[in-house]
Amino acid sequence: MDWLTILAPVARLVDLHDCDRTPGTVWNTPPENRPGIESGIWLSVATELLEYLYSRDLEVNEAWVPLSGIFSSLATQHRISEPDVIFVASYLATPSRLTTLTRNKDTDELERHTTKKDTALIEWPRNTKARDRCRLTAAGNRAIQFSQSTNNWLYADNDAEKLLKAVEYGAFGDIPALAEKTVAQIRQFSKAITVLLERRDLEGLLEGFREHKDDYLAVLSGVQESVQAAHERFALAETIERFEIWEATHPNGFSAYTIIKALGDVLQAIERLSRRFQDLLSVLVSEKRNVIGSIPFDKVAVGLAFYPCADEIVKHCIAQLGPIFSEITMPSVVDFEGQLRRELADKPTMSPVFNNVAGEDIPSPLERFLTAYRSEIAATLNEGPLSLTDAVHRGWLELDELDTLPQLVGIYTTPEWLAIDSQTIEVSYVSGGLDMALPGGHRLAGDDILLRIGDIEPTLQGDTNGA
Amino acid sequence: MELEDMGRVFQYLLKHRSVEYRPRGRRSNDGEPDVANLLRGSSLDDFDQFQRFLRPQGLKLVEFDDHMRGVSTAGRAWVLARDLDATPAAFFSTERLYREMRIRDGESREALAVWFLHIWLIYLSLIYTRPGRGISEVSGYLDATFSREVLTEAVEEHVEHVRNSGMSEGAEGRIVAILDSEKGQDINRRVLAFLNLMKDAGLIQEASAGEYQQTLLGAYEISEHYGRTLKAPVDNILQGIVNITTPKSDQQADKDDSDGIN
Repeated sequence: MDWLTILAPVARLVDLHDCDRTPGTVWNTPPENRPGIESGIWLSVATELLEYLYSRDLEVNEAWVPLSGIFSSLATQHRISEPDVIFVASYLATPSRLTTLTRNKDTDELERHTTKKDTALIEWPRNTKARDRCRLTAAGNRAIQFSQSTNNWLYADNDAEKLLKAVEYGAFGDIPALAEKTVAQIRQFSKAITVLLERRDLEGLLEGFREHKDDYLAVLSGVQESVQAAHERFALAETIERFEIWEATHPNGFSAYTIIKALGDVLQAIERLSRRFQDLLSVLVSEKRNVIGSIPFDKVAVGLAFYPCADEIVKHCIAQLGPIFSEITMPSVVDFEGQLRRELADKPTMSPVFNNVAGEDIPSPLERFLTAYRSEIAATLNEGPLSLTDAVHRGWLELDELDTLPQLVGIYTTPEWLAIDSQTIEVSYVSGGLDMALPGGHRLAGDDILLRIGDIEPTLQGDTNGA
Repeated sequence: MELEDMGRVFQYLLKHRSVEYRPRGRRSNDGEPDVANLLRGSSLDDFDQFQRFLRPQGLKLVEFDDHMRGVSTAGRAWVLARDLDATPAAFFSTERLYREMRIRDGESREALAVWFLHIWLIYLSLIYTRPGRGISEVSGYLDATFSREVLTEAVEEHVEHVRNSGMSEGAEGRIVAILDSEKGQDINRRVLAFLNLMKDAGLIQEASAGEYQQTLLGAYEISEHYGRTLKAPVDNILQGIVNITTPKSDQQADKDDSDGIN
């Protein structure tokens, strides 16, 4: 987009608009020392913001464009922060007070006319203080269009002709993009018509339509004819042959189906547009103006305190226009499908299976204990008997903050866990030999237990409930 | 469309009131893509047959394409609207409104209806009167946004205004007494109840926490049914009161000066 084309003529006009010279006094050439830091940064942020809002609006077709999408790119590019972008947006959202002299048709005299109407380039959402989204106003959209040197519906038949040319010249690669551009223009025009149909009180706009009615109709049929011709041309054997050659040399190109569909989309869009256009024409012809305009509902609410409505009327209004709910339970097809499946199944083909796969990934406390201390315990046992007191003193009571007392006592009751091959382990106890303090204020007291490697079968001599 | 497909579409629409193919700015509801695909794939005959099924129930299905603002490119939207030419089905009820607007025991149905009606009109004033939007401007639903905070403030101002000016200027004592009875968080709670009712009925949607927007269904029904519902009482009131002021009327002197740097 070429913003200089807008700025060049406008800057001087604004200079003169703001000029403080009084008639008859001496004059100087306009000074070129403009106020400000002259880094160009704010203008650049502003134009980028406008272009962003325009392209996002075409993409999303929603009410408001969130600003979050452009903050980071502007911030890194210009080293500015979020509030700086909001500052620019607020500047663009501020209406300018413009004074013009216009000739009064009746008196033929020049009249001073001051307005702020439709001068802001962007707008914020109403009824909220949030400044996280905004959009272009009509003036903002015009600015973009000027910077693109006019992109108007009246030029749309040129674009549609390009479609036909693309088929004729075999520039098949351009067709989908051209078709999309044409559809976008048709949609935009169609939306403008919708607004007019919904607000038939927009006299100025209607006047414009009435004036250009024939031009618009000519464009409409021109576009339709071009696309139709492109469509037919594409179906010719000769074109298909050329397309096949093109397709073979463009492995990443489109299929014939894509192109036919793109042209079909344009035709469909035109059809819907012409229906809407017919509606508008009938309104223009019939001069029908039975549209309900803006209603002062706030005033009505106050008035309700003076002229209350009859209960029946209130009930009627709520039932026909207010929130209603289906109060009886409506069965859903899905409900019955569930029933059917149950009826069909004679017996369950699957029974619940305990799935412990997930648990296998994490070693159990016993596994961790044995991995850490098993070889040490085995080595100690090879040197001589090992009492529980001794084991506690050796620090096998905990492992990385895990309390391993149950595991330690466990190997005294189930020495097989140690898996010491070809040797028998003997367990015995020493009466009253256990009396020690443990961390955390606990005590171990009672009979101490003893493990020893022996030659005979392990025998359990006495209980191990010393702890 | 097979009969079971029709059933599937109908039960979805009864719950959500609208379906969108490729919705923008929100995730599809459970089952929404299936229902949208069924409607997209239905022939004109199927569509007509479905309409014939809906009509005796006081309903009709309205289709919008991407020439309507807010419908995503190549997307489509359908709304299940009331058809005032047919008798509404008996399974539709407004009882829930009375249950949820009630914030303390013993409130009369009249009081609840008064509260609802007043909040409703203030809501309409936010999305129609303030932006100068006509009743027929369906595509304006996209801009019909408001926050819970702003609606609550507007209702509070309205009640305060009726309380101050109403009695002295000869308002109906009963209505003023109902509105005057509010205290503490009452208005806040009633506004929340109102928003939840409207949201669950598919007439508004919550765009983000505390920020609401009228739905396409809400705008369509207003434009279609206003003339046969609210219009008569509204016109009656407007004829009766020529000199009544509103809390906002003195602030609307210069509309063009609004917004901008602040």
